[in-house]
Amino acid sequence: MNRLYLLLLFILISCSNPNQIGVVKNSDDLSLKLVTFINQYIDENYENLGSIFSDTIHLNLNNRLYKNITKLESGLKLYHKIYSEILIDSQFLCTFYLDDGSIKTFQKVNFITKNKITQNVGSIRAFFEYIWLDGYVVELSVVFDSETLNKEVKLFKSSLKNQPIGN
Amino acid sequence: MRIFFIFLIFLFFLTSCTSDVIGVVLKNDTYSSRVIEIMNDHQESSFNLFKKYLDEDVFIEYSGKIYNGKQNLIEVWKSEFYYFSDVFFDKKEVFTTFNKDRSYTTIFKANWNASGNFTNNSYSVYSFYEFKWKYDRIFEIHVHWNNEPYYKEWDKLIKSNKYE
Repeated sequence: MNRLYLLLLFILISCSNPNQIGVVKNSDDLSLKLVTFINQYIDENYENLGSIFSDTIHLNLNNRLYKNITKLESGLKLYHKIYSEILIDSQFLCTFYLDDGSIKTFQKVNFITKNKITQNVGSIRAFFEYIWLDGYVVELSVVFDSETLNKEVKLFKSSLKNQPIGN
Repeated sequence: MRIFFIFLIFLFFLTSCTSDVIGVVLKNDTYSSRVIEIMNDHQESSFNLFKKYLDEDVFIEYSGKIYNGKQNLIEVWKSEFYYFSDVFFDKKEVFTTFNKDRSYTTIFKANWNASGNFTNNSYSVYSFYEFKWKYDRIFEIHVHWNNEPYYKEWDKLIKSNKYE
């Protein structure tokens, strides 16, 4: 019986490290939801957006602020208008569960893109920070080097101007 | 009783090995304090503390560009002050994780603010730094940043040189 108490005490001590304030996971439900989201996104599938992102999500895209899920969806669709192909070269993510109850996920993705107009193949290295509340992402911050994208958007816009009116 | 005891030990090791936890977030750790000091020094264009903790073979991935070696890294960080003044970080957040492979990673997240030396523009850029530690030295850094301020300053510099 003493041994049982000893084992229980050992488990209790192992699980209550006073020098930690949270744990990091990468194969939990929330992390997997975001892996699915990115994989569906490159296939232009937006069906599950509502089950991951809050309707009133705050979006910070390179320090430009947007609100609500419709802005997020239209933003995501924009990239598929510019690029004929978007592929994932590599990705890494992890979710932080802090003792104060807050949950956030960091995701790093390297996208390979092919421009619809120029056929240029390039890469976009993006960093995403998701903040979760009650199972939904309520804040999303995205950082990436916008220079390449700005050039591609200009080309895209000029190609629209040159299109004949009507069919 | 003995069987029950053995079962409990078995269960303990089984759950430990199948845990999806890949690290823990540390409280009041030394690495976070060091990174805060390094980034405070950075605002003052001072790199002594940074040099002290950099491994000779440090590798940095800076917005998709890769630099190798301590000296190269210092030169890259110094070059920031050729283009920008009044560099300061706000909305700072720093924490360190102890990872399953027994390495440490310090995350520094902040808004980088500065004035452009050539355009006089004010910039505020959300930035994310990841410092990886081994044997008490930083051996890898990943920086996620929008380089737009650099492009604007370069552009202005090139245009102004043309008309000199």
